[in-house]
Amino acid sequence: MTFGFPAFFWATLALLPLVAVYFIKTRPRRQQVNAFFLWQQVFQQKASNSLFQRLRNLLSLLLVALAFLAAVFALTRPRVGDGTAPDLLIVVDRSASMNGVDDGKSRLVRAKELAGSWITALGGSQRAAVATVSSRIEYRANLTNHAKLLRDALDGIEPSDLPLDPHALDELALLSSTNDSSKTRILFLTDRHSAPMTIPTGVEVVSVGGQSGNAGIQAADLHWDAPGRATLYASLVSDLPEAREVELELVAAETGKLAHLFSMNLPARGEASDSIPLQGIEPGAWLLRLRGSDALAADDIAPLGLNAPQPIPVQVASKNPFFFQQCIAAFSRADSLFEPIDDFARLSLAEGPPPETETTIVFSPSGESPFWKDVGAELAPGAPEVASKDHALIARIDPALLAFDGAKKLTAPAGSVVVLAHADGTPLLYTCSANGRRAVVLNFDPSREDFFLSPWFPVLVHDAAVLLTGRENTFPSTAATGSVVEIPGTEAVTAATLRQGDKVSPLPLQTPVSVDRVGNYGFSRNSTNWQLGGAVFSSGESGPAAAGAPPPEVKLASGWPLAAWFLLAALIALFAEELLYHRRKVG
Amino acid sequence: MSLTDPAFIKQLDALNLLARRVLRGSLQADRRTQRRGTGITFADYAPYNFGDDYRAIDWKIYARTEELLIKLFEVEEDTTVYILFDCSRSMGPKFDYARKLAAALGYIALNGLDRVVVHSITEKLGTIVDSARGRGKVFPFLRDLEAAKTSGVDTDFTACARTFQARNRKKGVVLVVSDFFFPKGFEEGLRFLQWAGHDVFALQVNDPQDLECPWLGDLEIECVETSAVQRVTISEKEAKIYREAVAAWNESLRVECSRRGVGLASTTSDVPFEVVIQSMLRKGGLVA
Repeated sequence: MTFGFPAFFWATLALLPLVAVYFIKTRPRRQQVNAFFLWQQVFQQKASNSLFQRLRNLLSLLLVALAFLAAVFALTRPRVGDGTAPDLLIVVDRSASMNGVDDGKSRLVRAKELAGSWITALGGSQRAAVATVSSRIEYRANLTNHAKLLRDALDGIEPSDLPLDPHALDELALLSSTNDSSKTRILFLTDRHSAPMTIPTGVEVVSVGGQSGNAGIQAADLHWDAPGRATLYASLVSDLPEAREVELELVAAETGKLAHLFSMNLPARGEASDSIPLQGIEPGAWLLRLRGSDALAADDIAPLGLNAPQPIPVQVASKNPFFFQQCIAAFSRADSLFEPIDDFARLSLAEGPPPETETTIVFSPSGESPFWKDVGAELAPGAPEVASKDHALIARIDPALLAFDGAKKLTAPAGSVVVLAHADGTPLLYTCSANGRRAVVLNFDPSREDFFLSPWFPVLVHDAAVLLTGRENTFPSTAATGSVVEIPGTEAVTAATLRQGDKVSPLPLQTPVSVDRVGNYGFSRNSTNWQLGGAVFSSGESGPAAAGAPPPEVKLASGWPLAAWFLLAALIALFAEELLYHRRKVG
Repeated sequence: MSLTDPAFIKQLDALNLLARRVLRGSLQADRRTQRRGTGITFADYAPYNFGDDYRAIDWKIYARTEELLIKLFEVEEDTTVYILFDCSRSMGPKFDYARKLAAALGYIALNGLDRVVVHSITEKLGTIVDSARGRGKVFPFLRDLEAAKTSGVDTDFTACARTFQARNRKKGVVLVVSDFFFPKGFEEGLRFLQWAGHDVFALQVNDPQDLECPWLGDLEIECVETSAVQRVTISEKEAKIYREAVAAWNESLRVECSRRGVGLASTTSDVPFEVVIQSMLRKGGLVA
């Protein structure tokens, strides 16, 4: 046993005056009585207690001395062992797998209880800090010996649906490399269910739960094959010790109506996947559920979104609209990108001055337009120069193959992004915006040199259209928690919700969106609605624990410190003495 | 307040007037006795026997019943009032109070022309007022009584009673003013006094603190007389036992007095002394 503050032992010298005071204190007051012989009669009956009467004062002194010595010991902060008291950095894993339940108690709760017992054992002379980690490290309490602050920080740790980022602990590597382990110990409480990761040197892993078997959905997708026909893809992972046949069901998220039920054979500690064709399925929010119970419930569900085709309303403003219309029809049939419409079109394909639509792809600029000015003479043909390398408009074409025949001298409005330019600097392909309208300007005549018939015409139209309307990326059916998803479109987001069971919560109206909870996400723009599922989708969280030998047992004091027990002993002794004192003073 | 203080004398005068009213008049040797003889106050009838004074025969009775009956009269005599005043140290807190009671009783007796003798009771009998008679002896009586002090280490009522009987052969009224907390008991003493033919009257004076037990906790109780010390712890339980012991002691006094026909008046020192005297006079049995 060692002592944090052995100097307090000098306080035992105070026992001497205490004993002196005690003897003064315990001298009873004298009372003259007239009927002394009657008092003698009274106390003849109590003669049997005389031994206790004689020893009582000595017992009282012993109790006071015991209480005093116990208090002195408490002040010296005794510790079991060598007495080193390094600071503690307690890092609690709050990834999705920590929601797993072992023997009726979640792993996160076990971790918090264990960390709480360490904090209780600090005893005021040792400091600790509390942090959590899932996708990144978050510090909840800085180094302090204030137990309540630390306990509040622990109590404030909420479970998350995020997987543990294998690199989240990397910043601890720097801390542990500069740290003297005798001064600070870094303790990582985890169930060891995560993607393979390297634990930084100096970080002590404390295993919490994680023994119960689990099977979960590690990947899923739901996408259209054709109108009314879709394919469901599901991939499962298991750390169960035995193979088993599991059932999965696809239900509507809002109504719970069963759409499809199927089974899969899941090998022991292995993976299985399957693609299921679905007929007559409707667009909307769906749930893929793995039936049965296991350690982790969060990965038994995969919310999915099946979005209806949402074509871009488009119109043509050209003297020769044929090729434009053919291009629109082709993309409309292929992936429902366009929907020809004259009224309320959001996109126009134009030659010359464009109509006032929200977005415009305009060839052969001429006349007056906010998208150009100073249109002059035709330029001499020549190979364009790339002004914006890796721009989305030229990602799938070779600019050297474009002749830009019929390009004219002009000036792009301020703020334009020039992608290709003539040798004299005249912009040939650029994007610009004016008066709240955006445009892709192609400064050449598409009717020359059979450009309409070249493969670059539909490619340019497609890429310009998805660029202008914000449809560059395919919107997924579902995303893993921790990922960020861009909502298609350029209009303002008007509604964003998260459905978890029957509970629907509003989300911030912003894009991109962080998918950090398991559930069905719904987003609305003025003219489009999008469904997205958020699921754990982590083989590390759902599958077997990290390979290798379990971490060595961490030796750390837990529970009430010795000082607290000494203090309790002092209080008990004082209480006992108080009983005797009370009896002496008031009978 | 001194016993010779005019205010106190005034209180005694008032009590004396009350005593006169109770005694209906005559001041001379007017204390009633149980002995029958010559006098002016009719007491009873008795059959005539040879040698009786034939002048006392009630002829009217004889005319009606043809039986010779003589009228008996109370003997009016010069009575000696003995006050045995407890001067033990246990009387300390109530000594002044008891002294006032004794003073009042002696004052009334002296004004009734009775003879008053005051003895002190400690471990042996002492004399405070040797013998006094008549109103002229009132102030010497009061001064002597005032000069009395508590003393002694081991009060012995029995021994005092035995000594008293030896010294005072003339029968009279014996007033014992005490708390009757005699460690050796009071029964023998009362028996001696009554055996000697005295009219014995006990006036018990208690200190309220003697009846209760206001102290709790660890104490060294000290006997006021012997200075004996005992270290005790008094809880409510012990206090209750003590109260019961005091009550039993006082009850035994009451029973003893009742059994022997000894008049008993008990009071505590928080009751005004004149109230006690008035009560005694009105109840009779002592001076009336």
